[in-house]
Amino acid sequence: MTQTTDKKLLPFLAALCLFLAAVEYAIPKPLPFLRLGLANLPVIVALFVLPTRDIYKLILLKIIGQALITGTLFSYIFLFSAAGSLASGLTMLGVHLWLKNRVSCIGLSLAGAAANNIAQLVVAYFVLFGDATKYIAPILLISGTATGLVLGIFTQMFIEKSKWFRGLHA
Amino acid sequence: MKLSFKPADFLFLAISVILTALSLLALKGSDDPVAKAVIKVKDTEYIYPLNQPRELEFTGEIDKAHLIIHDGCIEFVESPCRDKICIHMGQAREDGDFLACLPNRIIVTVEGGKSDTDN
Repeated sequence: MTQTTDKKLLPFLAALCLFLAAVEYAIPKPLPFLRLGLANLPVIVALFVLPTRDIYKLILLKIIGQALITGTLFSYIFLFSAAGSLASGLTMLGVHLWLKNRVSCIGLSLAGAAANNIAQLVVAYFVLFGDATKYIAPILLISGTATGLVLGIFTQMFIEKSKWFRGLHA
Repeated sequence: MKLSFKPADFLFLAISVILTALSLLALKGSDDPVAKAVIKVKDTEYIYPLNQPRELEFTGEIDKAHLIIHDGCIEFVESPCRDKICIHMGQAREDGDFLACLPNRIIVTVEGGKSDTDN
């Protein structure tokens, strides 16, 4: 990987987060925190192609970008998405560094989804719902496992097929 | 195309499924919670489960009142108020039951128990 690709890759992946957040925003959702997590795709891809330092930056850019797209930057909803993105991003990074080639995008995505949901439930407990959090926990965890699995499979297929990705990785 | 699942993927799938199952169990457990007495004395709230016998004494607006929890219910046994309506109200044991001693500003409500408190 040349220096120039390196420099372009972080903003490119961050822009992709922004774009996918916009796509996600256009999809109606039954509850504000039930989400597909499309914007996590660039973060998973980044684990394989960006240095650790840049992954932290990408996570922060994703949080800010998502909040700008959804218009939640200065609302309490921002707490949810920031906590979720931070937890899932750092968990995926940790899992990737720890297990390296023994885990695929599917495992990474599932771990990220679980971390995201746990973080959001913790925020929900303290900020919004208190004891009633237990009523939303199963919905969030079931949907999170399903969407995490689907996104993981999709990302795995993407990085196995993509010539662009192969070019980066070589 | 074939998907290359790796061993650790199943670990995280298992963790996710276990977490989900735990959250469902926590919800199920809350369907038959122990009934609790919420006792409001002037502006302070006290909460006691009704499944453990207990003798309680609270100092209300007038003076000390004496309540007991036994056999899954709560009742006033002594009160410094004039009419003793609180004592005559008898026992409170189910969700929504309440006892009140207005002169002494002690109000007891029962929450949880058999009735569905969810909806």
